[in-house]
Amino acid sequence: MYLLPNLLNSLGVVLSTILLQIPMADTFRSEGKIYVVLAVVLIILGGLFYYLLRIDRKLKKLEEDIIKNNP
Amino acid sequence: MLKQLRWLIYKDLQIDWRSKYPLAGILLYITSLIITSYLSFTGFIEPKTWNALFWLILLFISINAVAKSFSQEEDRTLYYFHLIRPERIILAKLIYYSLYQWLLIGGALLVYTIFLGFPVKEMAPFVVNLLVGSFGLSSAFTMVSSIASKTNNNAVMMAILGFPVIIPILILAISNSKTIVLGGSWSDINDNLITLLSVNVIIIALSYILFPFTWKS
Amino acid sequence: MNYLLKTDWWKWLAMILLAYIVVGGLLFTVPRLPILNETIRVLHFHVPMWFGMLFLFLASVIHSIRYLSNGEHKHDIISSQLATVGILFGVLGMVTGMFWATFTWGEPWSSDPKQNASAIGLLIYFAYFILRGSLQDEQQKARISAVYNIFAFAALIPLLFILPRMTDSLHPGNGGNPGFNAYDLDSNLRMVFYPAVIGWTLLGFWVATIKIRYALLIQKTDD
Repeated sequence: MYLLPNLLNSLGVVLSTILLQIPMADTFRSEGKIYVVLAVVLIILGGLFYYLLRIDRKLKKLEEDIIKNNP
Repeated sequence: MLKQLRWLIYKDLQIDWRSKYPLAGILLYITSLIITSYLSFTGFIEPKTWNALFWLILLFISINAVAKSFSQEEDRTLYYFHLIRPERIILAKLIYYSLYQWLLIGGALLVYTIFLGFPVKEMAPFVVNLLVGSFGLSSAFTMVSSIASKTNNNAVMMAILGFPVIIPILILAISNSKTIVLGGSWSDINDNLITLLSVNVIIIALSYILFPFTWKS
Repeated sequence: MNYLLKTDWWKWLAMILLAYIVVGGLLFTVPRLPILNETIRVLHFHVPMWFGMLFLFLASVIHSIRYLSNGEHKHDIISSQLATVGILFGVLGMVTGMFWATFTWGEPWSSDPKQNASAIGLLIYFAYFILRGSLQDEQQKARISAVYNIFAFAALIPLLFILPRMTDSLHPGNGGNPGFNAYDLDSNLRMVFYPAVIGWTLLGFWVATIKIRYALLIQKTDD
């Protein structure tokens, strides 16, 4: 009884996909442009991670210095 | 323990009775709010609007009435409190202010009905919802007032701290009230009412546990 | 939390996961759904913000409780820094949600219950910081704000979980929205979504630990 709405729903999705051709970014992707987006985001992520790691290292050095000076 | 509670409640009652200004202020506030609404609605008011307006008035009464609950604990009475366990102080305050609030709301409802009518068909669920909802409001505001009294800008703090906390209570109580005003009855508001009761229980339990920490400072 | 403050391996895990999420989020196939189209990929970025926020606030409340029970000042520092980063994630979640909504629901703010509840949740934590700002004495500030943190968090839970389920909502999965329940279970999406929640949460905790370590250092040098 609970399966019926789900079944109908999936049927609707399949039918609409075939009949309406839901627009997605297929052309965009087929021309390889998606890799441009991917590269940009990865570069930004990489830069941010590098910055975070630097701060982390500086903090660690500070912590060790303080422990050394006040045992 | 009951004796101490009774003494604390009686003390609050005496303070309020001695200087009637805050009470008179609130009563005046209620009547002027209601008369203004009456004038702007000239005659017919839809049930939904009636409900919304009533809860607005209720909210403002609540804030104003409970705002002074801890701010008036001046240093002169402070030394009494070192003798009494903080849990009993907060219990007494919770009880006193919920009774105070119920009284004010009863009065407000009366005046409101006189001017703007009473479109509620089922009295019992409406009254129960009102009592439970306003109990939640007063308890939440009492606890928040105890926190806000430690800061310097008391009134503003109470509004800032209190408003987000009471939103769940307001949403539940107002939607219940709307259902009833539009012709519902017990079965329609049952789930909401249980949730409202449990939110009340959570608030009171937390107030009981957390107040001693606020009091210590 | 002590463990997180002292170890490093999970930070590398966070970075790897986030790189994977970006790649997977953009390149993996997604279900073709009306209205959403490609924007469904936003799922891996918007929703983990809320999960991250909740985990951060939960950790904040736990440390508030620990502060009240043993009085060590460092718990207060940890608690407030976690709340700060929690607010950051909450704001980001809200802004991304509004942006996403403009293109799919038609308007940035449609008074959807989850939107309203999240906005109020953020208001609670803004109030927490206003409260901290208005108290001068260190000990009093720590104690009173810990009390409010616990009280307000308890008020937040019914707000975020119970109320949106009770009313109609544009959010997928609530209020009888047709066609959205299918994508929740899509295994392709799940492959990126679950790591996304972990990755973004770990990032949140990383930022929080940096702020905490910094605040603890300042406290130590002040002594």
